[in-house]
Amino acid sequence: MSVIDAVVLGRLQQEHDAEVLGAVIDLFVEDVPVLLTALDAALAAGDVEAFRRHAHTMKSNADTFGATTLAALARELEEIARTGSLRVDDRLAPLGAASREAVEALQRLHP
Amino acid sequence: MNYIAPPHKLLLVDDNRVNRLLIAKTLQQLGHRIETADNGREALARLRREPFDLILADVEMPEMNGYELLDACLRDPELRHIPIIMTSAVDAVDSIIRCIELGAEDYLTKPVNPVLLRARVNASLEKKKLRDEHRRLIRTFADRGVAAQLMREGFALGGEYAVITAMCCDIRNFTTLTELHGPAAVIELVNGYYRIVIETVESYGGNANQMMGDGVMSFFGAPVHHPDHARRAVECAIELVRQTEAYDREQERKGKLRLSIGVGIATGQVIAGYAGTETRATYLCIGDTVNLSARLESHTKEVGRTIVLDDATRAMLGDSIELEPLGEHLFKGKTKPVAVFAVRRPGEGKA
Repeated sequence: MSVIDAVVLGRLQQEHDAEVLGAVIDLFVEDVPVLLTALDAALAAGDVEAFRRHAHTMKSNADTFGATTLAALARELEEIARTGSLRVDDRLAPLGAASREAVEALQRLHP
Repeated sequence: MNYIAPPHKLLLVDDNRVNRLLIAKTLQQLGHRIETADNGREALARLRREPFDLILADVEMPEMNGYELLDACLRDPELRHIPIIMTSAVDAVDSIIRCIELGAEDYLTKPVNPVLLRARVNASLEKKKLRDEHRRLIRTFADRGVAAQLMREGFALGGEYAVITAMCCDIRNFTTLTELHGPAAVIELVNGYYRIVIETVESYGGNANQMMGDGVMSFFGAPVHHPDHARRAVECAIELVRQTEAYDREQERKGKLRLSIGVGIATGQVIAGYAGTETRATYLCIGDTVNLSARLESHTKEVGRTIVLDDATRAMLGDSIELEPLGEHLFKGKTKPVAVFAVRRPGEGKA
């Protein structure tokens, strides 16, 4: 799986001018650490519903930019939480790594 | 596809600001005005404050989610005509099915394809336009109470018993007027008269039900229930006479056709409901009370009074409206005489 799906990003670039796309990427980049912190907090608090919702948002944003690896990891977490469980084992660490990779790749592709 | 002239006001409901910005920008390219809300509760508050042409709502939201928003809008008679397009993740097919079953206009999976988004928004706005036109037609050709009931509950033939007050009003010497004056002058007079009757009846919570030439039959107490239907009808008649007199003075000043009216009011049980066929139907109240109000209206000429009512109406009035008893009268088609009363007016009847 690639960090950023070129076809998905290409469509976004076609649809929106550079300024709009830059603003959307900025929101995504800002939200990544917020979501990671929120996921940690929800896990610590045992709040399955909050955890599921934050994983859902991360997945949705990753899908928007074609961040395939990040989307797959977030989807897995969302599915686990949907069953009412918070047994996510050590899946949060790879999610953090994938999100940082996605952020770097987007900033590189769209400086 | 029909071209939908922008701008339309759209409400975009999504807790995810990345989605909000992308969708808003895509729709702004169509020239629409986009307002946003973070969740269902915030959206509902805005929808109850200001008009919108279309709602785009995400299923997944904190506080009040998309299903709850959809449900709340469809239950609200003021909001149910606004089309709602739901958005949800592509892997949540069951949520799409649920949205459509609940009554969403359409759905889109995320990430939203901009071409599909614009096509569905345009299609929904086109449907909204037709629906608005339909609502406007219902409002024009049906009384306000009937229109509200139709839009709230839909249409079904059938009736029920109801105690109502029927009010029949008529232009005096109308036949003579039509013979002496040209069509333009007559129609102008009738339009002025209809406007006064319809606006006054509606403002007293009545139903201006049928217009037959110069006669208007109105009902109080159905389809909108008012426990004080008799008082409403009599107060409405007094106001109606006051307004037609003012209109008449204006007509006189302009050297135009004069207008004077008579009003008959009767109270009793009727059968109320929709009668006709599935394709051509009307809201009706059927019963002796309705006929009696028309007989009473004609009786105004014989007794030289403007507003005449039956004993059943009088019994519901109390003391605040001064009445003049006119004795009993046996009306055509009735087996028993009816005690008749007139609303006391300056220059009419005995002090």
